[in-house]
Amino acid sequence: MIGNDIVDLACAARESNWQRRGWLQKLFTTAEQEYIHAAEIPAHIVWLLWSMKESAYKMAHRKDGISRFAPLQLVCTDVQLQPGTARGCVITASDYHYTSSRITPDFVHTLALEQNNSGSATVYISDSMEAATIPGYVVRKNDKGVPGLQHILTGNIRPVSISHHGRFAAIAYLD
Amino acid sequence: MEQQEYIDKLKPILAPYAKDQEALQRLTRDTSFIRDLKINSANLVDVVLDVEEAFDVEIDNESMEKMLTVGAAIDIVQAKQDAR
Repeated sequence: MIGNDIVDLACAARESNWQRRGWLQKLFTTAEQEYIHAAEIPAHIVWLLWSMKESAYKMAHRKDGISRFAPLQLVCTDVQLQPGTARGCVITASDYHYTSSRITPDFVHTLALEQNNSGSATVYISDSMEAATIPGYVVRKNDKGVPGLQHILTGNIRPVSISHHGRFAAIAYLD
Repeated sequence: MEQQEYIDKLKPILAPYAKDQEALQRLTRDTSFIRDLKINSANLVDVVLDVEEAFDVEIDNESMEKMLTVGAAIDIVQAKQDAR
């Protein structure tokens, strides 16, 4: 299983006021809020943790097909921040989702996988929608809206996760 | 309040976040915030906060989890208002 999420930081700054009263409390646990407030650039950590939760949610949705908005049930743990990257784990009632993130001045991207091995997936990030395609494959969604990459010739389908935000598109699939 | 009154009151709340303005004009109980209105998932929390303010109710996390359509939002607000 796989999930990925991209946040255009300029777009996020325009569209969301994370300092709005009640905003952080509805999305983040107390520990997560403390981690945000202690950060050098709190906005980056807001969007890092959000993209971790979103990528884990997409992975969970692929598994059970249930749509829900329950960010507090996706708990970010073990966040290891390095310059430009982060690793972590998002825990739900039933599963662990291992995350690896890229943090740039322009975007935050997170890939979530079942195992702590980001080498088993390919990620393309682009600033144009057209480039977010994989030659030889088409994207098909099932009846629950879960996307798959279908090979044009063989018809084989492999799991894929697609994310758009602002100027960016990201596509991630298992090798 | 009638269903249509709720829908009329929700429309301006959803307007700043809806990327599909045509779907916003055709708003019904079945309209999905993400699939139809193309609201960014990070803005769902703004919708919840705006609905809390506009209807003077508190939406707990359990209710928020289901608040993905116009109909679900109306049902949640009505239940909170009835409980007062």
